[in-house]
Order: sequence, then C-alpha cells, then structure tokens
Amino acid sequence: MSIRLVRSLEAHTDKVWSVSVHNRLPLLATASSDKSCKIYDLTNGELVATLDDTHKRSARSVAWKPTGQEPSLACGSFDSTISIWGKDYDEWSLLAVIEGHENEVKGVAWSKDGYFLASCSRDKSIWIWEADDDNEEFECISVLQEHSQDVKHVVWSQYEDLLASSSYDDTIRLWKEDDDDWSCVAQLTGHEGTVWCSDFEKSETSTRLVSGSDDCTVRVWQRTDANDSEETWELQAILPQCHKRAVYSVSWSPSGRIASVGSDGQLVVYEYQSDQWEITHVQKLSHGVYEANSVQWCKPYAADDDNGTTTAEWLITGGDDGNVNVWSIS
Amino acid sequence: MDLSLNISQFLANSGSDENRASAIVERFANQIHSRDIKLIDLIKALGDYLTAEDDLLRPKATQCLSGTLNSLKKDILTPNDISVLTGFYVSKLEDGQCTKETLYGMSSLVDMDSFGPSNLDKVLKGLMEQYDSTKNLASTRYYGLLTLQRIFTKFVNYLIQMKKDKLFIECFLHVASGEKDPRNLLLSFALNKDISSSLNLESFEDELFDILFCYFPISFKPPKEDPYKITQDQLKGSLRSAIASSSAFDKDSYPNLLEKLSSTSPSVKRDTAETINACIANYGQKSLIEHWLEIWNAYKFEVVHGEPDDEEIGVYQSLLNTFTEISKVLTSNEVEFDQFASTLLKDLKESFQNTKTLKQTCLIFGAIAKANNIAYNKAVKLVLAQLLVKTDGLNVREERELIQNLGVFTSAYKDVYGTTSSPKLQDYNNGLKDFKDQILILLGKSLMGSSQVEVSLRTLAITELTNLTTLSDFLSNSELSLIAQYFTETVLMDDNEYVFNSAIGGLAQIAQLDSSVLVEVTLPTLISLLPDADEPVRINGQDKPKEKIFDVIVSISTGGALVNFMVIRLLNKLEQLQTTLADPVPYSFLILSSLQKIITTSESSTQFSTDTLFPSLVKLIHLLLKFPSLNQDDAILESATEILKLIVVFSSKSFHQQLSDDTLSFFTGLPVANDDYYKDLEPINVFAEPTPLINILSKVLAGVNKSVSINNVDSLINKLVEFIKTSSFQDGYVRISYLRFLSLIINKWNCEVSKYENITFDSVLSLEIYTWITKGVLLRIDPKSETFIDVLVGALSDTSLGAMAANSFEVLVVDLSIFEKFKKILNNNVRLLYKQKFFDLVVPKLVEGFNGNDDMKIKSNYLSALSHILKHTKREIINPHLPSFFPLLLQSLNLMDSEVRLASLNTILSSVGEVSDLITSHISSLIPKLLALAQSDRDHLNTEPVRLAAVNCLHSFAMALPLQKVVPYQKEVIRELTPVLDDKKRSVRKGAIDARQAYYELGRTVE
Amino acid sequence: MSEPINANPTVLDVNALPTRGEDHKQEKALDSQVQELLSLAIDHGVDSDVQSQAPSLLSDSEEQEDPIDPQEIFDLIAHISDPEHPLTLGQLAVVNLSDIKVIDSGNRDEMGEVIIKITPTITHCSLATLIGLGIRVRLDRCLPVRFRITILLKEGSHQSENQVNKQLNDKERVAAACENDQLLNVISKMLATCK
Repeated sequence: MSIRLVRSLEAHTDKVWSVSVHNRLPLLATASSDKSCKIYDLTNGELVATLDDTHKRSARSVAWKPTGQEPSLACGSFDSTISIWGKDYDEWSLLAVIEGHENEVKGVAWSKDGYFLASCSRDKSIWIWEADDDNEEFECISVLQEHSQDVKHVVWSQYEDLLASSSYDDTIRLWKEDDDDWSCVAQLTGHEGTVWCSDFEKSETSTRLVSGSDDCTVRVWQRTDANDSEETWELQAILPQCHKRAVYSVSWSPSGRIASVGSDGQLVVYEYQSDQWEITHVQKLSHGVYEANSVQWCKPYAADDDNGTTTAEWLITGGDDGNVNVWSIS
Repeated sequence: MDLSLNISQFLANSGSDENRASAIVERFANQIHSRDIKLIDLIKALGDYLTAEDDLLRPKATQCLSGTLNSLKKDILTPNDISVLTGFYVSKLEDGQCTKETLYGMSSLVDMDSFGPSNLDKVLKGLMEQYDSTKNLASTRYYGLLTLQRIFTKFVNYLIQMKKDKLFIECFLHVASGEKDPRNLLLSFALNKDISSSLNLESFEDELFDILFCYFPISFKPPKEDPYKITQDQLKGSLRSAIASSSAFDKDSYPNLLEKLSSTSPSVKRDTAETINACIANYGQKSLIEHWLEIWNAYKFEVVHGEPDDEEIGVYQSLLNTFTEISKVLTSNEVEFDQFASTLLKDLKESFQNTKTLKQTCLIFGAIAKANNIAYNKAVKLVLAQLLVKTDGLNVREERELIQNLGVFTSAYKDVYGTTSSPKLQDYNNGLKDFKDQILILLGKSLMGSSQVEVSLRTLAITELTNLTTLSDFLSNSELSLIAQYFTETVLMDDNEYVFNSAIGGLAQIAQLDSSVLVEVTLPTLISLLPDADEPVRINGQDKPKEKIFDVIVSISTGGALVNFMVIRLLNKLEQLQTTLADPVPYSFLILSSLQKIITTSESSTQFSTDTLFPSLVKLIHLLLKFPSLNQDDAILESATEILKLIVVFSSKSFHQQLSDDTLSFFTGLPVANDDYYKDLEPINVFAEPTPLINILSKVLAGVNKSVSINNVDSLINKLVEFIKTSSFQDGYVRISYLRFLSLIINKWNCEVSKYENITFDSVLSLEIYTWITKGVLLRIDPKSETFIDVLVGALSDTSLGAMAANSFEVLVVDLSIFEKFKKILNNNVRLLYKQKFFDLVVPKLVEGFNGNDDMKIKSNYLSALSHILKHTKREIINPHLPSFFPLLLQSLNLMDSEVRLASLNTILSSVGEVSDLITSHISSLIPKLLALAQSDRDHLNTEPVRLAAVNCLHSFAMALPLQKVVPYQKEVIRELTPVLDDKKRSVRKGAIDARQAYYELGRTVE
Repeated sequence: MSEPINANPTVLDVNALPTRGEDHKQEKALDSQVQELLSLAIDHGVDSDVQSQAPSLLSDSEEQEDPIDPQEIFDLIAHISDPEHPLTLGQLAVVNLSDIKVIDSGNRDEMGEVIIKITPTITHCSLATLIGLGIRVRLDRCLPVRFRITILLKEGSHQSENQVNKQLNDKERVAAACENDQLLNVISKMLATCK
C-alpha cells in the first residue's frame, strides 16, 4: 500500500478552500480566496477554464451538478451569492447568480439527480433550491433554520434525497422531504467543537456518515432506523486519532476508504479492516507547512504503474498554499 | 495746466493702474511740500469732479484728495485748512458713493498736527449720524475704525478731561458693531481694550463687553490667500486681552466664560480657561474676591474629573493655571487667600480619599503652590500632611501614585525657589523642608525596599530622588551622599535597563552638582568590587558580569576629577592583572575599552584637559613596553595606543615637541635626550624588524599638534618606504600599522612626494604602499593628489592587479582614528572637504572606465571601487551624482560580493526620498532584484546586512514612491516576502514584517 | 465614539514592558577595531582561486540562528492599540510575556505553534473579539506560515470565554472578517502603532 503524489497544480495565489471532481467526467473544480474558481482536466492536469470576475469576495465552495448533457457547477461565495456556471458550445459561462442568503455562503451541494441544490450560510440557515435542467431558474422551496450557529457544510446522499449539514453549533443535522415540506429528521451530537464537514458512505445497502471536527476527531455515524419524519442515528466509531489540529474535510471513497485533512497539514486514510477502522496512510505536510482545507476521492485518470493497472484510487486535496495536489492510493 | 493734466491722469488711472495713481498723488504732496502748489489749488482744480453727477467720478476725485492728504507731512496744514477740510469730509459722508475715500481722507486728517479738539465733535457726530458701517465693505469699515483709533491715541486725555467719554464710546459702538472682517476685528478689539482700560465706561460696559464676547470663542480659519496673514492666535490673543482689560466687565465676563468652560471642544475649553486666566491676572484683587468662589464652583467638576494625562493641546494645564493665577492675586490678602484655600480643602475633602481623583486634587494644590512663596507654604502644609499620613502598607500602585503626587510639589518648588543651577528665592523655612525626612524615607523605601520587578515604581522613586537633588537649597550634603549611595547600589544590583539608566542619570546629575560626592561614595565602591581574577563580580551575594561595573564606571566618569580618578585606578588594576593572571587578555580588554570610552565621552565636556593625565600616559607606555601580554595582542595594543593618542590630543601643546622628539628617538633606536617619558627603558628600533610597537610611535605622533616639527622628514619617509618594501611581514596587522604610519607622516608633515608618483607596481606591496601614500596626500588635498588618483584609477583596468586596486579605493576614503579631527585642535592636515572633492573627481572617471571596458571582470573592478567609496561617503555628497551611476549600482547588485551589494543597497536606501523619480523609473527591475536579495542564498552572499538592506529598500519604496507606481507590486511583494518571515535572523524577519505591513496598508487611509 | 466600556483601565508604564536586553558587545567592539584595519589589506577578499571566493571575514562562518521566542511575539503585538483607549495592549496588560508560548523545533519543514492568552481589561469587554482579531491579523501577517496560531482568553478573564475563543480560532470566520473593509479599517488603525 502506498501513497504517491501524482501531480501538484499551482492553481491559485491564495487559499484553496474547496475541490470537487465531476462524477462522470475527468473534471476538477476548485474554489479560492482569490475570488475565482478554476477547472482542470484530470487526465493531463491542464487548466480548462478560469471562472472569475463574478464574486466580490472569496469563493468558498464548489460542487459539480451530477446530471445534465453538459457539465455545470455551483460556487458559493463569502459575498452571499451562489454562481452557476456551465459549458455552452465549448465556452464556460455564467448561467445564473442566486441571491438570498444574508451573508457568507459556506457550502453548496447538488442532490443525486440534480433536482435540488442545497446551500448553507453564516446566517445559520440552509436553503433548498429547485433547479431546472437549463440551470436558469432556481426556486427556493425551503429555508431550514434549526441550527443555532453558522452552517459550515452540506452534502447529499447519492442514493436518496437525504441531506446532512455540519455546523459551528457542534452538531450535524439530517434533513428529508416530508409531505412537500423539508424537516430535520435527526441531530447528531457528540463532537466537542465545530463540525466542519461530513460525507455519506457510498453504499446502497448501508447508510453511514463520516464527520470531521475542530475537536480533531473523525467520527462515523450509522443510521439504524428510519421513517418519513424521523431517523435514528448512532455513533459507530471514533476513528483512530491522528490529527493534532482541526479536521477540515473528510471524504468516503466508493471502495470504502475514508480520507481526512486538516489544519495540521496531514492527509490521513482509514480503512475498515477486521472489524475495526485502522489508519493505513498518513501523508504529513500534504501542502508543505500550509493547512489543507479540502479532500475528495475520485477514480484514477491515469495508470498508476508501468503495468497499466489501475487498482488505485485518487485523492484530490486543496490547501492554503494555493495548490491542488493529486494523490494516488494503491 | 500741469495740475489739471495730472488730475486727469489720476482720474484715468485710478481704479486701473493704482501704482501710477499713487505716484501722482505722491507728486501732488511733494509739490505742496515744496510750495509749488497750494492745497487749495488742488481742491479748486478738483472742484467740479468732487461734485460731479457721475457716480464713478466723484469717488476718484475724493480719492485724489484723500491720497494727497495721506502723503502730506503732518505739520503742513494750518488749523484753518483743517477746519475747512473737516467740514468738507463730514459733509461728504452723506455721499454714499464715496464713503471709503471719505473715511480714508478723514483718517489722514485726524492725524494732522493741527487737527485739534475743536474739530473732534464734528467728526464723531458725523460718523454717528452719517455713517452706517453695516452698509459698507470691510475695506471701507477699516478706515472708519482707523479714524477712531487715531483720534483715541491723540485725544485720550482730552476725552477724559472734557468728559467726552460717552460721545466717543457711542461713536465706537456705532462704528464697530456688526464687524466680521478679521483685520478690522483686530483694530476693534485693540480699540475696545484701550477704551475699557482708560475711559470712564459710565453705563456702557455691557455694550462694550457684548461687542467683544459675541466673537467668543474665535473659530476663525485664515483663508488661503489672506494678504494680511492674520492668524487665529492673533485674533484670540487680541480678543482675550480686550475681555481682560477692565474689571468693569467681570459681572458679565465670568458667568459667560464659565458657561463656555463645559464645551466639548478641547480648543474652546483651553481658549476659555486662558481667557479666564487673563481676566484674573488683570481685573485685580477686588474683583477676584467677589468672583473666585463662582470660578471655583464652575471649575470643580472640570478639574477633579478631568484627565490630566490627556494633554493633547494642554487643556488641563490651562485649567490648572487658573489656580496659580488666583493664588498670585489673592496671596497679598492673607484672610482672603486662607478663605480660598480652606474652601478648596473643604470641598475636596472627599476627592482626597478617592483614588480616582487624588491625583487631580494634588495637581490643583500643586498649581496653587506654584504661585509664590506664601501660596507654596500654605498648599504644602495643607496637602502634604494629608498625603503622608499613611505611607506604610501601601500597595505598589498606591505607592507609585503617592510619589507622583509628591512630585507635583517638588516641581512647584522649582517654580518658586528655583533649582541648584538657577536659584530664585530663599526661604529657609519653606514648607517642604518640614516633610523632607518623611519624603526621603518614603522614596528610599520605594527604591531600596521593593522588589526588583517593580520597575516603574523604582524608576519613579529614582526620578523623584533625582528631582530632590536639583532643588535649590534643599538637601544637605549628607543627604546627597545618601542618595548617591542608593543610586550606586541600585546600578550595581538592578539589571533592568530603565531602572539602571535612571539611576545612572541620577548619579550623573549628582556628579554635576558635586563630583566629590561620587569620588567619595560611588567610585571607591565600584573599584573595590572589581575582582582580581577574570571572574564575575560578586555583589551582595549575587554574581554579575564585570561588564556591569564598567558600564557604570563609563556612564558616570564625566568631568576632570572623576576621569582622573578612574584612569589612575584602572591603570593600577591593569598593571596588577598582568602579573596575577595567567591570561590577562580578556580582562585587560575590558579595562582598556572602558578607559577609551571614558576619555572619548569626556571630550565633549567643555575645557577638557588631559594635562593631569600625563603621569598616566607615561605609566601606560611603560606597561605596554613591559608586558608581552599587552603588546603582543593586536586588539589590546590598538586600543591602548588609541588611549595614548587621546591623552596627547587633549593635552597642552607645550608638551608636544619634546614628547614627539623623545618618542621618535626612542623608537628609532637613538638615545633619548630627557628622562620624562622613557626613563629606564631599553630603546627600540622599529626599522630593525617589523614590530607592532610601531603603533605606540604612530599614535603618539598622531596626537601631537601639527606645529611640532620633525627633523628630516623626507629621509624618514624614504627609510619607511624602503623598509616596508623589503621586509617580510608575517602579520597583516603589523604591515598595515607601518603603512598607516607612512600615511600619517606624509599627511602631517611637509614632504617631497613627487618621487613616488611613478612607482612601478611590481608587487601587491608596491601597489599598497602607493595607496597609502595617496591617502596621506589626498587627505590634505595636495595639488599632486589628482596625479596619484589617476594612477590608481588606471590600475583598475589591469587584469592582474585590478581587483586589488579596487580595494585601494576603500583605503583612500575609510575614516581612520589617526586622522580623526577634534574641535579646535589641530593634530593633522585632513581637509574637511576632501571627500567631496575626491568624489566629484573620481566618480566620473569610474563611470567612464566602466562604460569603456567590455571585460566583465574589469567592469566589476570599477563597480567595486565605486561601492567602496559609497560605503564611506555621506549621501549629500553622493546624491547629485546618483543619476550618472545609478545603472552601475543596479548592476553591482548582481556582483558576487556581499560588501558591494550592501554598499549599493545602502546607497539606494538612503536616496529613495531624494531621487524618487530615478528609482521609480527603475522600479520594475529593482523590485524583483530586491526580493531576490532579501532571501538567503546558497553562496551566503546575501548576508544578514544585505538581506536587511533589501527589505528596508522595499519598505522605503512603499513609503516614499508615488502610490500608483508601487501598488502594482503590492501582491507580489507581500507574497515573495513571506519566506523571509522565516529568516534565521531576527533583524531580517522584523524588516520583512515592517515592509509587508507597509504594503498591506498601501493606499489604505486611516483617519 | 460612544461611551467607552472601560473608562479607567489600569495602565502600565511603557518603560516597564519586558524588552529584549542588549547583549554585551564590548569585547567584540574592541576586536573590531583591528578587524576593520585588517580588511583594509588590498588583497583582502581578492583571490586567484575562484573557489574560495569568501564574501568577507564576518560572514564566513555559518549564521547563528535567532529562534522565534515569546519576546519576539510580544514585541509584535504589544504595540497594537486598544480600539478604545489611546494605549497599547502591552500597556493595558492585555498581552503579557508570560502568557505567550512558542513551540518550534526551528526546522523549516515542521509546523510550529504559538499560543497566546489574552486578558481583556474587564470581564464583560465586548471588544475582546476585536482585540483578538487584531492580534490574529497581526500574527498572520508577521509569522512564518508554518506556525499555527491559537489565541485564547485567559481563564476566568471573560464572561463568554468559550464563545470568544471559538470565534477567534475559526479560520473561516477570521478569513471572512478580513474581507470586511470596515473592520479592516479599524484593524489597520489598531496596527498603525506597531513598532
């Protein structure tokens, strides 16, 4: 088992806050304090497009829409707006700017079929938007205000319309539609600090969530019971402690691995082996002495050895050094 | 006729060419003086114009007459003339078109010698009835006020005697009302002041006051192009002295002023307080007796709850001054002053108990104490008894406050009784003396009895004790010694620099007062503490570095007696060490460097003479010759001989010839004629073989007056040159010492140098000899120097010697101690302007040489020669030449030599402000270059000073260059300096931090 | 400005603030007289052998490292102005040398840590967050990127200690605050007195 730096992209001159890989195409999107997003071709590391001149403050989060003929994405910014970009006749262009939040938008996420866009903000609320196929009309269908503090991150399950939100109030909440109305179906408490990020397990049969927090821990939660208006979730495990400072981002791979990054610059990979979670890789200084803000798994877009085998999975990380690093885990 | 022609010309030019117009009236006046024409002729000739229908013509005609009057001598007109003209002008007031010209004439008329009281009423009534100030422009109103002022000056006694006060005041109120123009206001205020302080105001005081106070407070801001340049302060001052001019105003002025005291504007507040102070000082005791309570009631809150340290524009001090003023006025009435003081004491009873207001309360009484002897004694008696009632068991903050509050009264003491250096008044029983013992005990306890971490308390105690020593006629000698003892112990025990420095300052102050206290108390303590071995000093059971003692010694040994004492004692110590210690070198260093500092710092004191140190000079020479430990260590020898030089420099010229003769004989192996300096010593011949002892000879000769003669200088030089050429020096220091001696002799004594002009450079040594000869010649701006310099410039293009020739240029301009100049002492032939001359001469040659050569190696020789020169040249000399060699400077930043880089960077740094255009035009290449130089490099060429200079340059760009030129580099500089924040050296990190901060803040305006 | 929240703070004398004492350099100074003379040898630094192009005598030796220590951090932040008094955080004892901890191996490839505990002048001071933010901005600008900075209120010094601590150490909130021009102006003013 090894971890290898495939390439390092000098993407931005300021912090990279967020990275997102398209679910079908070899496209990587980044969001940065330099107010821009960039799109890279993962097969060769080449810059495809720079999306700028739109946001007045930091671009905080970026998410690809999983559906549609042409690729498109949403970007949430500290300027309180969300921009929607799409490829149109080989040109990347701004399709819409969504306004509504009172202040900094911190997270954006698309539902499995691209039908819903969720956004969360410093204003403590989560907004659910209904999107059309052309990405031109976005109608707010629900505003969820149960978090008592900033909402840092939102993520959808790939298999059902289930949304998880992480907050400065130290909790995670899960949200579902129930009779045309969205409501909180579960609240996960236990973290002893801001929850920065969570991610669903990529499995049709089991529904689990991994979360990373300011308390330096990474936790796995499992759904044990569910009906339309209520779900029961239990803490399944606290992953072996490795981070010495806040964990900013976690990601669950299709093969079942979990990766986490954080303020201490470490990139940590965990696997479930013989009934327990174990640390299988630790990459120190993943972005030099800078902090690492975002991590995401993706499939490999190049052979990882001379034999042309591609058993590996890739990890994309973004850091305060402005770089995006592509790692191969085999 | 001539007259009417001139009048026509005047009328034509008036209003268009005022210079010509006034020349014409000037001519009329002269003609009247010379009796060529009579005034009546002029009036007749003007006649029709004066009454013309034309509204434009009448004023010009009137102006012609008035202008003439203004230019006339005062004694030329007869009473009859005056009477006629007065009638004319008064009636002319009816003509609204000519008011300005009329008043102008009137103001001249009233100034005439023959203008007597008989005309006065007419003028005043005319003004009252026919003139309306509100309908006229400022320049017109000016003449109205001027007329009144002239009348007043001339007729003040008449007005009083004839009881015409009322008429005049009414007229003044009429003329002055509604005034807004600053120049007129100055006149009006001054006139009001005169009226109020000399006339009988009858029932007009209210109106006279109103016409003043309606302008208070003055908030006038002078317009940009005010021809009269009237300032706000002028107006304020003039208004203030008018308000304060008469106690008749007091019933109005105090209530009105006191009301303004609560203003939120600090400047209004201060203006008000200062005006009140002027009133108190001027209105007299009677008025003040009626009003002080009212004043006090209004002041109470302001001063008790004011912020004394918020001294932005001195508001609080102005408030305090009121108490000083009141006390000054009241003290001559004992009953009333007692009443005043006890009222305050009663009202402030609670403030004394409240820690938040205690300071203010003390300041109030301090202000009272400042007034005079009586007030001082009263205030001190009332307050100090209360303050000092509890001095035990105070916490540190309370103790600090108590000392600060006591300080208020020592400072007032200085105001009343003066200081030891300028005593004012003696009062052997003054109030503070009653508390002297208590104060001394308190301060002594705060200083000696509190923990060393209480830095501010201890510093404060020292400051206050020092203060006490400066008070005139206060401390006894034994008390002074006690304080000196406190301070001595403090400097030895305490390592905190603030405490240390204050105590040293205190000792220096005592030394100024009476150096014998230090000689008796402090110095023996210090000397006795010096250890015999090279080990730390043991003070009160604690180990301290020896350096500490020497720091103290150096800091306080100022002035003849102290210096003498220390030099003798330290030389004894030095001698003792040479026999008792195995390795006396480090300890000897300390002693010698301290001696050097003592003499150098004392040099600035007036009339410093080292004649009494001559025995020490002899002793030091003997020590140097006797102990190998002293003469075989370069650093020790260099320092010790420097001391010799200094002693010689500051001694009387009368010693010098013999000293010089004896020394030269002694060191060239000749018998010494006298026994004074080299008794019982074996002569030495510096030409036998290279010896570092040459430096004793060298420094002694460097110190003697240049009028001292040397026999056969030329042969000495010859011998020296030959000796250097043919000797093999094992040691760089010894070689340079001989070369330096050569340079000294050539500079100081007249000698034949042309024979060395054409030396062939067959060795490095020959080039080096040539360089040092050139230095001696250059420093005295010998006519030959250009020839010598040309040869050196020429050598720069030599492929084998060029790099060394470049170093020669540093030798030429480096400042050496043997060539040091001292005020009023002629010990060498160094001309003040030599660097300027040299720079002007050599820089164009270097630029030319650089441009004329293609070989990079040779080019770099010119650059490094230039940078060596820059390193030792002031920027005033450099700047005019900068544009010519700036491109070279940029290139030298790339040279593989740290010193060259540093010199170039420093030149850029020091010229940013002056030649910002030049720098701006190179900014695109400079910034990346500087960013590179700010980082450590593999070759270690970017030394700490280079890196620091580079970040400082970047910083200075942000501060001194035009914003729009720097902003494009803002992000790049901030980003590229990020790694420098992790530099190994703190100084570089700090430099990078400051530079980055400047770039972060570029263009951000902080109000 | 409205009524100050703490109108009468206790003020330390500027002179009483801890400083980096000057080392004794007498011996060096003495020796330097000779060193200066020796550097005047015209073959000084000139060498036919290109390899040994030593820049100068003094820089020959490896530079000694000045470690980043609490005093250095103190000097960076002690002169920040209080937002409501014309005084510095050092004078008001909001920052104290003894409450600064530096963990640093000196290795440029290892992260270091700076932990600062600040003491607001009064326990309900609503300006504590602003003061903390000023310190954070100052240190973010001044310290090498490898340092992680933690700013905490001193235990028991404030009613809402945890809230303020959480806010001051939330990277995202600090980043967002630094994009607020108005706030940045206030901070600029606070930093203007830094030495």
